[in-house]
Amino acid sequence: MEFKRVIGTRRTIRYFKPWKPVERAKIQVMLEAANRSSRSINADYPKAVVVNRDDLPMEVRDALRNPTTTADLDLAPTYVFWYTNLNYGDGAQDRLKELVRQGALPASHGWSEAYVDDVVYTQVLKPLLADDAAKGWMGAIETGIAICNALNAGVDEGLGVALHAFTAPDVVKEYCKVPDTWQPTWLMLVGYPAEDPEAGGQRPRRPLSAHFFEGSCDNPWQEDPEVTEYLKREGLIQRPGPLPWRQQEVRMLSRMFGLPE
Amino acid sequence: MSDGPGAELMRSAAVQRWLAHTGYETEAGRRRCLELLGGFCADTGQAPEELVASCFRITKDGDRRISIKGRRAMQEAIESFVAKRGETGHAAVAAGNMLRSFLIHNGVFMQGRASID
Repeated sequence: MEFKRVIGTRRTIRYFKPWKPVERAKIQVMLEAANRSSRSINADYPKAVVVNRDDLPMEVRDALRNPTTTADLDLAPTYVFWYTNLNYGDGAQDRLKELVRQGALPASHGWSEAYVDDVVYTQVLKPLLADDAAKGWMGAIETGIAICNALNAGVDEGLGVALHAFTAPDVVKEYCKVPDTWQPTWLMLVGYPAEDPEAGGQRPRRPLSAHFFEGSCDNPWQEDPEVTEYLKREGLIQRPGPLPWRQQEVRMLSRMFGLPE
Repeated sequence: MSDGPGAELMRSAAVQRWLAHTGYETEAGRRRCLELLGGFCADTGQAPEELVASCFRITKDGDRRISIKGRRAMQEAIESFVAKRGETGHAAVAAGNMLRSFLIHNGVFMQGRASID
């Protein structure tokens, strides 16, 4: 799938084919996409544990359920528990110097190994990493970028994906032997969509001018209609929901799975 | 629905709200809704409004909040009721979820198991 169409096609899929397992190769694609994400100080922020629903003991699956989460967990065949590694600062100094040697952080932009040792690490990173709030903020953002790559890679592989509240983190921690320094971030549900991949149409979004500005916040971004049309042709902007058949689709899926209507 | 056990239920505002929004919109579907809810009310000894109220709690400040404990108890009551009816498999899951639909359309966020076996 073309890049723009991947972004335009991604939805939070809520009806999966519970009977159709996800190929391990496709999960690897998603993980590698996460591994290639943009990341400050080239640190290892994202951690993830991949678990197939049917491999989980029933007591763990039951623990994941609470009054608000059951159907999604029943339907998705694969769970990816995403964490933020709060030890991401370990080795940051060496990794930055590695980037200097690679030419990724070049002298043309002021970088040198001495600058990393004497300034960046000691005066910037070390104090930041000692501040739990700042450390958590940075970790969450960088992990989110990685998760986004994984989501889009899943869509590109023809999968349905959804981010879900991370329920029962203590149970998952014990069962999956998760280190103390990993902070639960998102539970990603993965499977083949039982609903049409359009999932009733693209979700409503406010116009660019509501969020983005040019030069100053009193100057909203003005869309170029030709670009908007180009994005429609490329599939980044798609038919808006609800498509005429959406309510019937939801009803039929609910009946198939015995879910509330 | 003008008489019979459903008539009393139909006087409930919560039931009216449910039937106005639910996808069980055929005559047979509505009859099944009322039959199930009537049985559940009898089983729990609670009126429709009381079932909804039990899934909320009132804070010290007087705010109405969703109750985890209340919803958990409701889930158990639904499972118990369905088990007593002797239904199994897809029918049992669907019956429980039809009752959950009543709560959902009255503002109680709740999910039931999906029938996937």
